[in-house]
Amino acid sequence: MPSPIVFSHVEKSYETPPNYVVHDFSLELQPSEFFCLVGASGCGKSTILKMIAGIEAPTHGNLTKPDHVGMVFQSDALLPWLTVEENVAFAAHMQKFEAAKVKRLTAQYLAMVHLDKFAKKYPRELSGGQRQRVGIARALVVESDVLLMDEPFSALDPMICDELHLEILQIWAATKKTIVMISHHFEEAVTLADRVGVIIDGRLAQILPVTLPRPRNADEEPFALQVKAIRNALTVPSPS
Amino acid sequence: MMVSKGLLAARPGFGVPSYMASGFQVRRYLRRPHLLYETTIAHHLAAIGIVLAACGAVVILGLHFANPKDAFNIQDVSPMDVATAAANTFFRMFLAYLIALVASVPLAIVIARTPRTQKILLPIADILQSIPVLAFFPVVVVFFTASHALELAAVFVIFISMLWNIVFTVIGGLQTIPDDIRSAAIVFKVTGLRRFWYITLPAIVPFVITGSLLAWAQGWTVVIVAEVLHTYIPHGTPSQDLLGLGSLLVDSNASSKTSVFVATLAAMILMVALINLFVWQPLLRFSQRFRFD
Repeated sequence: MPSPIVFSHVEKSYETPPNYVVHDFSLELQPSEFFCLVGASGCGKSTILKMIAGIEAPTHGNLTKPDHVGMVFQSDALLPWLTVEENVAFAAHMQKFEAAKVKRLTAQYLAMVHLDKFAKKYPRELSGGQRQRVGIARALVVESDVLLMDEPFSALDPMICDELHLEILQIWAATKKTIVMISHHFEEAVTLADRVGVIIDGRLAQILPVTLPRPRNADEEPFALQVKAIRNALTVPSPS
Repeated sequence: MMVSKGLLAARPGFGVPSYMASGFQVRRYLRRPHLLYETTIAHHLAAIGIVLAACGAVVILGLHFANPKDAFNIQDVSPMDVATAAANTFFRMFLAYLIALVASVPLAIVIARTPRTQKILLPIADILQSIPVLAFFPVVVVFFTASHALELAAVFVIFISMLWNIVFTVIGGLQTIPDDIRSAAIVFKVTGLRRFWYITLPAIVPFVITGSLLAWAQGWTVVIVAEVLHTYIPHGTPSQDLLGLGSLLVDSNASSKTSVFVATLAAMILMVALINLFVWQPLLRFSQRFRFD
């Protein structure tokens, strides 16, 4: 069973003297939970995700997290000189997995994101949605309990987004990973998440549970009410 | 695709992997399973050819520098002399380029490593590259003449002229690596030397190639002066010049040997065109696959 991710009064500043982009942030993420962070640009969402990923360290406070995570980036962040298969296998190889395991996991996760037929293609030969699928396969192949996603669908058209939402929910159901995702779209957050964290000026303003049964239908009234609740939470002044 | 099983399979530890035996036509190459190179017999033959050619070039270079045949009489220059001069000039530039390449990439990486190193080292590099290389050529020539290493005087000056072109282009290239790639490297534990080998080095390939192209262009300009050593040696005579296209151009012009001048110029233009056609154009096309945009 994966361990929870716990933020305890975490603060983060990139500058000296400190100018905090994340203030007094406390949150406990349960194993196998799908958590979505929403907020305006520059509110500190990405910094929170980077701290879980180990890219940034908290300036103050305690953060309990696994050493080993997978991450999907806003830009696909693929290596253009490697094929689809090599990009995925590369991430697995860097975890020092044995060659046979690298091979097996690469094939398994490429099949999971429906890209097994594109294994020999280079990223530039793929569409934006396909490249993002490679990014998802690469994040899964490291076999971590936690999957982080930094606005992974923001550059994709709505049809592709709907398709990928469905796939990510299937992957989540199949792998039972803890997923932390950043989104600018309230509808996306309600479609996917168990809980939505609303960030305002680096502070966790509110946590909204989404109790609707899956698959969630954006045309139904309870869905619209959840979206409205997030929108209202973002308009509430910061607790500072 | 036909897959070679012979060359590596014959080496200890490089047997045919199990997934190949099951008909999967991709093989491991040199124990790097994350890079599943498909290799054919043609690839292996080409690799052997390149290695042999490189070894041959090193031997010829070594022999040449051990026994330089630089003495020439501008009044009696044969077509063979022009061909020898072209080969000599090419070797000098190639050697200078190799040294510049090996020195410039680590230098650029050190300079661009952090904002702090950039702040300190970039202005220093900028000042150094602004110093005209020919300004201190007389000192270089005197130093190398004392060591009886005139070839190295020319190579050194060409090296200096090439160095900064590659350094500054690579620094620019390092800054184009997207932040998400740097973050991905941390998340996927690609750090230290592995990050240098698997991410930094491939990412700067287009910039190394562009910088190299500029370096050779600069080298062609400097080589014309670098081979005419006698003008920099106190009481020097043309017999001290290095046989090369540069010295032939200058000396034939000074001696009004128009036919030699035209033949040398034609040889130089031909060599520049051939290098551009068969080296730089393919390399520039090849480098496109390493671009992030």
